[in-house]
Amino acid sequence: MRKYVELARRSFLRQRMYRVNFWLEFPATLLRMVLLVCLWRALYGRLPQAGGLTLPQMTTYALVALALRSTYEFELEPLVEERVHSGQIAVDLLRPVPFQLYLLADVAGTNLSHLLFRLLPLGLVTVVGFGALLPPSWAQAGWFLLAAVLGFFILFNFFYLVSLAAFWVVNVFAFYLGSRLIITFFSGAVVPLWFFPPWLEAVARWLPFQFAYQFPVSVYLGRVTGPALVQGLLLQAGWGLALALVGRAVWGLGCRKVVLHGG
Amino acid sequence: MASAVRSARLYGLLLLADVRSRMQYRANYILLMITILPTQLLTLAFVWMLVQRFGRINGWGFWELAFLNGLIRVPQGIGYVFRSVMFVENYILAGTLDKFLLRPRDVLCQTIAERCNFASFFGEAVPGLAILAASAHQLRLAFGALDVLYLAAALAGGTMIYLGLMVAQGAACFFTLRGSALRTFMLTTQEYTSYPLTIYHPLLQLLLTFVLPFAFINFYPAHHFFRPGPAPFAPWLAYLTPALGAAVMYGAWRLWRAGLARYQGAGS
Repeated sequence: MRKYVELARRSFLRQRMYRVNFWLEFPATLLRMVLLVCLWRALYGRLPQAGGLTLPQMTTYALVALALRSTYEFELEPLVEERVHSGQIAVDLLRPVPFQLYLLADVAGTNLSHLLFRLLPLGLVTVVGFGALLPPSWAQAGWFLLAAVLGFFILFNFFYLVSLAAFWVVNVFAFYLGSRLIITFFSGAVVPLWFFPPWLEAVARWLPFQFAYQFPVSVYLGRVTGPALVQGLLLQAGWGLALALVGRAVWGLGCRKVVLHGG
Repeated sequence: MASAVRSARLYGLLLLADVRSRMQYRANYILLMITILPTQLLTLAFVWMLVQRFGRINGWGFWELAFLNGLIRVPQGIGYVFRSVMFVENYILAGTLDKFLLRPRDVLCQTIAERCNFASFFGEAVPGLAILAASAHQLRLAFGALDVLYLAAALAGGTMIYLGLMVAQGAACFFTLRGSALRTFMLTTQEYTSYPLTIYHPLLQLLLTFVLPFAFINFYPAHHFFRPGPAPFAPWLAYLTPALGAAVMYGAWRLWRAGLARYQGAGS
């Protein structure tokens, strides 16, 4: 365990060196937030509520979802592709830690840094600057953080699985785009599933992606409590673990492919 | 002028070489184009769901919004072919730019040729045209010769605005060595250009018209066709798109020259 903590600590510190990047993008993020608020205000018009949400609840949803999107960072596909192409993957195979866990620790450090230095300032701006609603209670805020962490776990394992395509195809960019597309659409990150046509919502409900955005943000809003909350958190953990195991199996298959090519 | 023609020819050759090399892995390349397409339709799907739920947005129905969407797809699809110009800092940090400077050819030309992204032309610009055609058909737009001419001029102008902004962002890298907020804003264009300008706060309308002129790429030309309400600022702004495109391109080119003159290497 100590070695994973150390790996995470290193990538955390590495992020601290590049923090200027985020602040450079900060004005653009603020602008995107203003545009989102305007969009939902125009859509609601004089409607008192839609999909069970009032306008303040909906803008809060959109802003928190955007803050989460700016927080999560997974660039696994180019990384794995580069390692497979350059042969660096052979070195990764020799390491005393499994590649999947090595990456998880690395990405966790990055995202922990983003949690502190992106999600918190963005959350502050959302609440103070845009009048977004606060979670109904401290406990609910805590559950939101836990749900966001589990959402991170699902996303990591999904992107890890996608990145393993590098063992079979020369250029994984199509997979990179495709996976982002699926996530953006089915996670409720932009338009919540409540506004989907019923048949499409039914499809989305059977996929793990809603647990990356819609579920955590719903927890933030206090729309998920009690047994539903516990059930959701368990489902999140279950999906994360299931994807992790599939990733592990596919990694095994991929490694056989590497051996065929030789060093 | 002669050097511009020479650069264009050189770029054409490099582009062909790039396509040829990518076609060595044909299935992969075609897969990429196929994946870009639904990425472009994603915004349209969201727009459709929102119109289904909330009705017309400030007087714009789904097909009007689709037309608005097509008008940004074409310039963006063409612009993204030259995507690498937005990431000049990568070339600065890797020392690739020094290599460019040593060659007796234009640096901008070499920068855009370093990584061609021709797939986005077929994956985005061509479907954009199809979206335009489909929505014009659905709306039963009676296109006269003048309308077609105007549409062509607006698309050309919009493409020049987009390209100009991309070069400006690339030039900003020379000053900041890290890119600028403009890049994030350009990579998420579809998030805000897919809706009519009139839904935004007046200050934002001002910003998207006179500071970052994205509204000239699709909003004003689309408004010119449908007029679902009074135009923000002035109705004749719709005619400015082509001229503005040329002006933005020229300004960006000057900024690029100034940035390049200022460049001193990353010290690596």
